[in-house]
Amino acid sequence: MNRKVLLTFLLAAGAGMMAPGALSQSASPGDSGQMAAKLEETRALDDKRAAYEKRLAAMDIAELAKEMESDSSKGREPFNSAAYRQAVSRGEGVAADLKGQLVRPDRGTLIGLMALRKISPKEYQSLDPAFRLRVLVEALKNSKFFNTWGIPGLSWEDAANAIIAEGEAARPLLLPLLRDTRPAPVFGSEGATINREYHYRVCDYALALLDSIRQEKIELPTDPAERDRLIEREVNISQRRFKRSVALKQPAFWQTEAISKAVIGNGPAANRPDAILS
Amino acid sequence: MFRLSLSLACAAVLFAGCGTPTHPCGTFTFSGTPVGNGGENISDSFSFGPSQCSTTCNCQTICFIQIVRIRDTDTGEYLAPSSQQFDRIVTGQASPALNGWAIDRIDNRVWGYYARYNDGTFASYLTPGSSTSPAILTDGPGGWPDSSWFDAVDVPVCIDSKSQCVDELLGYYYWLYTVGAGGATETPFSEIGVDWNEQAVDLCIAKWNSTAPGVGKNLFPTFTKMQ
Repeated sequence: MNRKVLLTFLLAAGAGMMAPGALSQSASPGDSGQMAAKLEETRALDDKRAAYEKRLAAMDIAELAKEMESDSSKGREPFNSAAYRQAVSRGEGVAADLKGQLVRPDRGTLIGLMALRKISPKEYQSLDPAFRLRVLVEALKNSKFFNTWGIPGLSWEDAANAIIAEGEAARPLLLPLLRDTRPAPVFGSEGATINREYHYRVCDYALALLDSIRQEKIELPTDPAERDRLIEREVNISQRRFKRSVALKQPAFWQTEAISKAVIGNGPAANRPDAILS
Repeated sequence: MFRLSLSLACAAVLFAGCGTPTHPCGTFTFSGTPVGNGGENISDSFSFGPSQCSTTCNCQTICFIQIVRIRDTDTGEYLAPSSQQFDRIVTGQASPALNGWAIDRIDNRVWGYYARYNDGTFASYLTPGSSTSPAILTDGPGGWPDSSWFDAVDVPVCIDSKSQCVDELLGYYYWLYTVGAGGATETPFSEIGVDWNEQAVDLCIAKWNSTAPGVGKNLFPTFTKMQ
């Protein structure tokens, strides 16, 4: 199957350069028939893309939200989602309707949420902060590839910037991820090469996001063991803040009403922020 | 059998006039090893040989520009590893073969040259070459989804400001692999670049230069082609 695809593309890649006339002029009859078929396949792919984008353009915002939800659930990045681009192209006028479609507090809402943030910061800010955080962190936690977020210590994408913009309110949801050592690969070329060198994990993303929230840019070491020391430092910072709030008889920093709603039920008890901090 | 089919396909493509091979001013040595998970380990080496182009230029620093095109064959959509790279994908060309390409660079790097740090040095996966030693590009593309294809053109370039051939593009090399079910990959196809690869590179450079100021990146200089 793979070989067939390779052959197809090899032919199609070049065939795309030819005018149909050139094909019949220079190829032998047998080659001409084969090439014409391959040329058709390439054109069919272009047609498929055009038809899909036309279909998106004809959708109302509710249908578009469903399409973005489908892309989100598949783990597609906002920038690789044609539905996201279509929603953003419609501008602020659709923001209120789009906001009305964003109800599920899970990763399926991520692309719609990012589209709303792009077209109307005002409508985005009017969403419950706990809802925003839940969607963002659930999506981060459940990512298979992490291109949606960027590369720690190098560059952040919009979704990571959205977490950072939530400030300290994001800390309680990110804290459990500091203990999450699953690999966090990115697909790509040069970026994938770097990721293989660093062996980034989910905890490294949490660490770098928390650093960015504190507006502290630290150089992430290549060696995961060295990054583990930085992670412990980050946990210590959280512990100090927690103890200070207890000493001052203030609510712990995550115990605001909005945030506690987001924290409740967020994973096993052992991974709850209070367990990590105690 | 597959290699034979591939050769026949290549011959058919070339015979049909889909591209005229370019003339590199040196020798490319390419290897690609499938690693699964939508990936390959790539090494592309270029030994500068100015005499192959009837010139005598000396160059102390040769690096690469790499352009890539990734396509989801299920939807026909182009893919990119980051939003910045997506934003510099070439589109709108009459010829489908020229669409979908972009300069391959990670974000937060100001140079368009592959693997170049902002301070002008290079990451370990790019060994700069010279008139006496090969420039070696290594790449580990991976993670691309099932039913996607990935093709690339590597272009060695002299960036030695003291050289009489500074900012000259020294050759073109094309490679391609596809991702099958379960992320399966095979040994990539590769060949000396053809004329439409050259056009695709020109368009990508122009696109880079039009988007670079907005994202704080350096412009490419005006290149000439050593032939």
